[in-house]
This record gives sequence, structure tokens and C-alpha cells, in this order.
Amino acid sequence: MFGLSALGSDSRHEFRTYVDEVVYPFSNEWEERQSMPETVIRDFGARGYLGAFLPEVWGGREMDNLTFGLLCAELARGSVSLLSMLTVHTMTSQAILRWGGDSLKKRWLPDLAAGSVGAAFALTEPNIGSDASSISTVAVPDGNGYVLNGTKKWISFSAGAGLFLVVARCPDDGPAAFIITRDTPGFTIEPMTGLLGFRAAGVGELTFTDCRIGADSLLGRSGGGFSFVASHALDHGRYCVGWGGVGLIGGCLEACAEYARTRIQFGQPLRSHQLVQGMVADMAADLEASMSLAMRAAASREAMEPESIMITSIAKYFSSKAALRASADAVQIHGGNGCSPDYPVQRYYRDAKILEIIEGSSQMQQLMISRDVFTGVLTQRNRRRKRNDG
Amino acid sequence: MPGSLGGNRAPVFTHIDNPLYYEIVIVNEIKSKIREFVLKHVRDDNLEDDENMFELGYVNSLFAMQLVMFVEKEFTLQISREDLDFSNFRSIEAITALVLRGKGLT
Repeated sequence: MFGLSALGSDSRHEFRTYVDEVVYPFSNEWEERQSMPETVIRDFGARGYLGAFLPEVWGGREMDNLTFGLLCAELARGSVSLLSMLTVHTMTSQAILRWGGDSLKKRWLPDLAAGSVGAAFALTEPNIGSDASSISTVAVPDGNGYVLNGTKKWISFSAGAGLFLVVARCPDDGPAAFIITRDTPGFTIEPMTGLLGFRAAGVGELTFTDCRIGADSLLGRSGGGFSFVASHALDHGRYCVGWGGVGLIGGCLEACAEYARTRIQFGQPLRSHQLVQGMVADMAADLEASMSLAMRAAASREAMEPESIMITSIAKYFSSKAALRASADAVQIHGGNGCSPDYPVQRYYRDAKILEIIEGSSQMQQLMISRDVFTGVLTQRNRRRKRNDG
Repeated sequence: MPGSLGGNRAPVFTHIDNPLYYEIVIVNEIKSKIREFVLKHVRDDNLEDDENMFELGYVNSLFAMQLVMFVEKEFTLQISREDLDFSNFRSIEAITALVLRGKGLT
């Protein structure tokens, strides 16, 4: 036994059954419609999945890191768009739990745990992606609050979320994070369609025009919006995506195993052809490696080790790249059928590319990982140079 | 013998409950753990306890997060939103003061 099956548990059985019955059979249809039915999102929340990671005291299911990771993996097998919604919802709810004041927590955490309110995370802008610390959306202090102006782009779950974590720059203090409701005057949302992947994730563009919010909307402290609040949320997002890659590879493997068993070419099922066997073997190896890294990240996060941030980054980096490899091979094995909406692998292929971009691109992960390796050498040298200059 | 460190060594303090004892031993122990963690990431043995790590370019958002996690885990503290000020993490001295405040030792 290998892959996710090796991690047998009641929770995993629950997640797998949910995905098999409610998600997987319909996800291609959702992608074609470029939207997720509201009933599905409501049901998802009612099952406690949107509150999966919140403490029971707030009404959440208080899953441990591994169980939550398994949920992310199973969702990715069924619909990466649904995983995307869970990712941004938990990024924002975890940020409120971690850095919110009592009033923000009491106002929003019970609703976020129950799934009666969805949450999205807004950092990226039309001209700012990886260089997130250079955001141009501004929040100018004004009386007992702030006035926001600017645009956010590529925001998942913006079609259905009622609450948004928005990172904006305060003129004097630097980046700050704000919690803003959907109905705030001056805040508008435009859906984005025709995307490569995540087509049912409700991706949109947010515009703030003289949008006035109260001082109690501030999450954390002004100036720490990126280094503390957004970075913390992105770390959580990378954990979700890391497990998402695991689930996506698992989905590719299952689809290919079934297709290679039934598809006959040259008088034999595809699985009898050695070149197909080679691609399936690579997929299985990538699944095991990705899962091992994700499990290592889960254990490190459970132990609250500072190193967990780097391990999570490595897990996300590896599994998203492995997912792209696996899904490309999965389409190849399926041939022309792999390009058809009648099969799931075309969706896996399109979504896998997005996994490599969101919550920090593969290149940003490489920078983080290599910086961690080289920091000592570089800082010693810079320090010596500084001393010499002094 | 009260205040003795054991063996044949001379007692350093006459009274184990001398406030000075706690100040020196506890503060040094906390500072030593913080210094060890910081140097593991910065690897600058010459970094002085009061030097500003932000001005030296040693702290990025990743290291800032790691510092928060380290303080919370090592000293079983919860960094609150009020503590989310870069000045609390600018130097080994500043982080030590943050921990002491969190522990109610100042």
C-alpha cells in the first residue's frame, strides 16, 4: 500500500467519501461553468470543513496539522478550486485567530468556523505579484479609521466571500492588514474568467475607491501587515498547497491506473507498455516523495518548530513541481482523451501550473530556500565589509 | 548549604533567593538561548547583544516569523498583537526584554 491510502484514518475515509460523492463527479462541470454552486459551498461549510482548522472554542473542528493536510489533499483530488477556497478562507481565519483583537475574534471567528461567512485573502495587485512588500494600495488614516484606495487582483473566493483580509500600505508606518466586509461602500468586485486553471474558484479583482473603514478593522499593528500577518497567512497557504500537490498527483495516478487498465492499444492494455509503466512509476515516486515532505511539514508545524516555515516552503515547492510533471504525463498517457473535459487529467494539468504560482511562486520558494542555505556566508561577508567601511 | 553551587566550590551568593541571583542567572539564560537561535540563522559570531539586526539587514519577513515562533515555543509565550512591533525584535537585548516582560519578570 502506498500513497494516501497508507495514511488510513477515519477522517481520511470521511474526506474521501465526501470528495467521491459530492465533488469529483461534478468538478469538470463547475470548471466549465467557471463557478461553484452556492449549495456546494454551503454544504462544505455545514460539514465543518471551512472551520476545520479553528479551535473548538470558536466552533471549529480543531483538526491537527496532518488531518487538515489530508483534507487538503483529498479536496485537490476532487477539485483544486474547492481547495483554493478552503486555503484562502483558512489563511484569513487563522490570521484573525493569531493577530486579531478580542472584538474581531468574537465578531468573526464563530461565523468563519460555521462557514456562514466565507473569507478571502487580498495581497496581490495588477502590478505587484512576487514583490509583495511593494504593494501600492494605500490606507490613509482619517479620523477614527482609514480610507483605502487601490486594486487587488487574482483574489480567490472573491465571488462568494463576505470577508476580506486586505493588505495596504499606510503612508507613515508601512504595510498593514485590514479586515473588510464585502458590503463596505467604495469596495467593488469584478469576476475574472477565462483563466488557465482554478476556474471555479471565484477569482476576481477588487477595487477600493475612497473606501472608509473603522480603526477596529486593523489586524495586528500598522507596519507589521506584511512581515507578520501576511507572511504568517502565506505560510499557512503554502502548507495547504503542498498537500494539494500530493492530492493532485494521487488523482493523476488513480486516473492513469484506471485508464491504462481499460484502454487497449496494439492488442494490449496500456499498462502492458513499458513506456507507460515508466511514466506511472515516476508519478508514484513523486507521490511518495511529496507526501513524505508534507508529512514532515505537518510534524514540524505540530511541534511549532521555527524550521517548519522552511520545511513547508520545500514541501510546497517540490509537490507543486511534481504535480505539474505528473499531470503532464497523465495527459500524455490519456492521449487525445487527456485533452477532453470527459476526463479529469486536463483539469489536473491546468490546475497544477497554478499551484506553482500561488502563495509564492516556485522561484520565490527557491529564493527562500537558497537564502536559508547561504545566509550565513553572505551575512558574514557583508558584516566584514561594513566593519571595514566603518 | 544555601547559595552553594555544590562540591568544593565557593558559594557565589550568600542567599539563593537573592534577587540579584535571579536577575543575572535568568536573564543570562534567556539571552543565551536567544543568542544561540539568532546566530544559528545569522551566523555572525561578532553580533553584539544591542546591535540592531534590522539595520544590519539580517531580518527579513521569514526570519521575523521564525523569531516569533522561536520565542513562543522556547519560552512558552504567546506573542500578542501589541507585541508585533519591529522594535521588540531589533536586537538580542530587545528580544530578551520582550521575553522578560512576557514572563512577568520585569
